[in-house]
Amino acid sequence: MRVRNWLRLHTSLVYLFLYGPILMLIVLSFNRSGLPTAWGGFSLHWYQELWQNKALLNAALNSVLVAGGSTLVSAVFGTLLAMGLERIARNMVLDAFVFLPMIIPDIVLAIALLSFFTFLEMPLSLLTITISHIVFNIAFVAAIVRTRLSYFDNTLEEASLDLGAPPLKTFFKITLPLIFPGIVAGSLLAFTISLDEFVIAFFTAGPARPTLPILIYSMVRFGVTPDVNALATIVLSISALLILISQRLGGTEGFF
Amino acid sequence: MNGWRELIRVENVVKRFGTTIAADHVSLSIGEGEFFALLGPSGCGKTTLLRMLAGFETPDSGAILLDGKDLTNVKPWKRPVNMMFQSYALFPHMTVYDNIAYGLRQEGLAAAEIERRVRQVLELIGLPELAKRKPGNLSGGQRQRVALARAIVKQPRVLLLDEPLAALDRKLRVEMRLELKRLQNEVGIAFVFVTHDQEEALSMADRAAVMRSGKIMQVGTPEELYNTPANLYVAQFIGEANVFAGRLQNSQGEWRLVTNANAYRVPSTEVQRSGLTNGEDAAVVVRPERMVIEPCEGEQDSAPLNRVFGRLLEIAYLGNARNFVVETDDGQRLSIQTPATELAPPVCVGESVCVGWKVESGILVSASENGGGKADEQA
Repeated sequence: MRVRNWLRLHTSLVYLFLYGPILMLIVLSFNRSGLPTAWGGFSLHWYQELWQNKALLNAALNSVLVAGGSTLVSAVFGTLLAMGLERIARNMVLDAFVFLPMIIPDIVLAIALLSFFTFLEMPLSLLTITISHIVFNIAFVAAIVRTRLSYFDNTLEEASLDLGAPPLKTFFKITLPLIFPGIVAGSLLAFTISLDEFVIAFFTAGPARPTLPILIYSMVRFGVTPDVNALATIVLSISALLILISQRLGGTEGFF
Repeated sequence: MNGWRELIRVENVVKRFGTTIAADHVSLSIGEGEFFALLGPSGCGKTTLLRMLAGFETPDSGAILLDGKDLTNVKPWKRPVNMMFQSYALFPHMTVYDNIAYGLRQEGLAAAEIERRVRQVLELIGLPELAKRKPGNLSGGQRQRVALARAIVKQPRVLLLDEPLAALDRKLRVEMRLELKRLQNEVGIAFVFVTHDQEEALSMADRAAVMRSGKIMQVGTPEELYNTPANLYVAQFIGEANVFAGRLQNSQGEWRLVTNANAYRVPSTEVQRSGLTNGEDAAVVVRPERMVIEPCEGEQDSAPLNRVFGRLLEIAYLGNARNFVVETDDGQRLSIQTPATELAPPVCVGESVCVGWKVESGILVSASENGGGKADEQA
């Protein structure tokens, strides 16, 4: 019984440690005074300020472009890759190497990509960030679609062929609709990760158009304005929502 | 088989998977409108043969013909053949109606025609009210019917069924045997089904092929398979069999099977049928219901019975029959079945009994399981 109480206390403290700062950030974003030390009453003032901050909004747009672009490309190629691995390769080594970009330290990947682009003499821009994000996003999409595929009953495809639908039509009518929840789940996860990815973006970004994390980082160095709290709260909400949807879809029951 | 006309011809088909051989020079003819079973234990190659008929596997050599046309390399989506899968393989994201209409849509039929044919087949399987349901909301029996409807609505020349009843519970399975038979009669399409259950094959099929290790052991009607098996394997696989192994001998015009302990008379008609000759290793197979059991009371009437002595181990009353298990003096176990409508034989468990069968009830087969005999001629 004693042990139980101790465990309960410990659990509460850990949760406080994990989520306290985030909670404080959210609360502060509604703090009229803008000071982390004094509560000046509830206000949406900093959200209005944020709306005026063109630099922040542009950076946010850049992030959405990078995340959206890399996610779209990854969704297509990650899905095809998952199918290839599940149906044709069945090779432990290939498997391990596909999922490696998910585990490799970001900094390693960042340096590697930067030298790669330098080697190709490719000017750094939003495009280079997008390409870099595709590298790990493909792995995330492939991993999740593969889970979905492993539950897929291959006789469904045979049944479709048998009923007169050629392979390509079978893919679009039977396979794709059934693994679609997995593709969406993988894409949402990829989008979320890409949206706030900092290290790789920082290395591969051009000077002209920073993504949101890069801009916030530079702002922090010169003194943070409280509208960043508001922005962080919004990004947090969107990410949480996407992850929630992604987990729902990633399960075996899915859409149907 | 009046008016039997060949529809499918399998010619010398060979299929290997690595080192295992799934089809070992298989040749077979299936008739128009025939209900045909591919019967054998798991791994005998029956499903591979079915999948080659569907086009999912290609033979390494040999040919498959339909109506005289070579189908061997025709893709599955271009064959006038449809299959019902063991798992049913209903599309979970489509309604029953869309599942059934799927195949017709591939043919590019007009919407009205599709609607008419789907309604018609739903009527045929007795589930017109389920058109809007998804497969996830159907019972096992309903799914099975929908899978069947989806395949026959295309009006194929041949319907292939992979273990069509295996996924159902026992009671439903027996009901569905009759139902499948009725449907097959009604639509007049040739049905080829795969099963490991000999009872299922015997009760539904017009003819069946018994397979083993990629080879066809015998093709015949259920009665032929049961009463005149081509070899010991078929005799033991189809129904229950008491087997007496020995050597065939002819002494003074009378045929006998000489075993270690005994000599049994063998009807000369069986010797002719089996094609076995003097001195060959052979076996006599006697079905349990052809045997009689009685107390041992010395020599009885010299009726044309073969006799063997033993001890009664067990009696089981089955309602419609009584089963006796007897251990013979040389340690062999025999199974005897008598109809329950007759008086129970006056025998008790543990006592010595005498088991006998009429000479003409003995079926003579070659002792080797792959048994030569006339098996090849019949197939």
